[in-house]
Amino acid sequence: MDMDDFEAQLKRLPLARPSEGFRRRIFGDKPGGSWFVGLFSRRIPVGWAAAFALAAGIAGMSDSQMWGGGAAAPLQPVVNVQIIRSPSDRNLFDFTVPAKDFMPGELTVNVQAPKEI
Amino acid sequence: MEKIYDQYGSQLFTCALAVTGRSDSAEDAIHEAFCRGFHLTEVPLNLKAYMFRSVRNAAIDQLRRKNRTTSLFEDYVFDSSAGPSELAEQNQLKRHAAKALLKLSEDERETIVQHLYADLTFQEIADMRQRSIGTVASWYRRGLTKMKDYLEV
Repeated sequence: MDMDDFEAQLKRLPLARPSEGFRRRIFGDKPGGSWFVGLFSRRIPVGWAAAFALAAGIAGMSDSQMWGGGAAAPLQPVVNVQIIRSPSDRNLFDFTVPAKDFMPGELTVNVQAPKEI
Repeated sequence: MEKIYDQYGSQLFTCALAVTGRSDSAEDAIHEAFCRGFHLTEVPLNLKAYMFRSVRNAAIDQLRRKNRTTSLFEDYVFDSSAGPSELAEQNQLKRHAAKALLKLSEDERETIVQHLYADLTFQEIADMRQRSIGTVASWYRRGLTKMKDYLEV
């Protein structure tokens, strides 16, 4: 028998396999193997994703009426109160000490009306 | 990864077995290599060669970790579940071939398993073992000659 025949004869011998259930042992440990992760790792056709995004966009733009909200609540003006200066060293906002003070100084109030969309 | 396992599961097992000499350690090595493979961020260009290298490295780790000297390779390397139609001659060849593989040096045995059974090219084996292609080819030829001599006696 020459070397090629010998090689071919050896190659024909069937190899042993890992034990029963070994495949499950490997792929059971695979990350993403659970049904929950698998659910989110599925591929979604681009057309479906685009249609879903379009529907979500239209729903968002439709003034919330599709959710049964009716007319939107009136927008409230924003009021900023700003104390520029306190003439005394005492903390005028310390209400733990009884005091009767007139708060001198300059008080600026900005009222900003929101723009209607 | 599952395709690699389905296609080369037996070959990976035999390659790991050629290093560890024990089926339980060989399975542990494959398991470890696949677990590492699952965390790859990029698929290697030659996934098959990568997995064989990874299994071999894991098998060497297993061997060092468990420090076992008893070799049961002979009992596991070939499929022993022979059907009734299988010739007695082939059964005998399997037993003798397994014994002959054990007579080889580690380098020769691994190279024969990797080239003959796992269909890895000499170049792939040389890359894996970080040796020249000539060295690998020589291990293979020498090992095959020794096996043939052993089986013809």
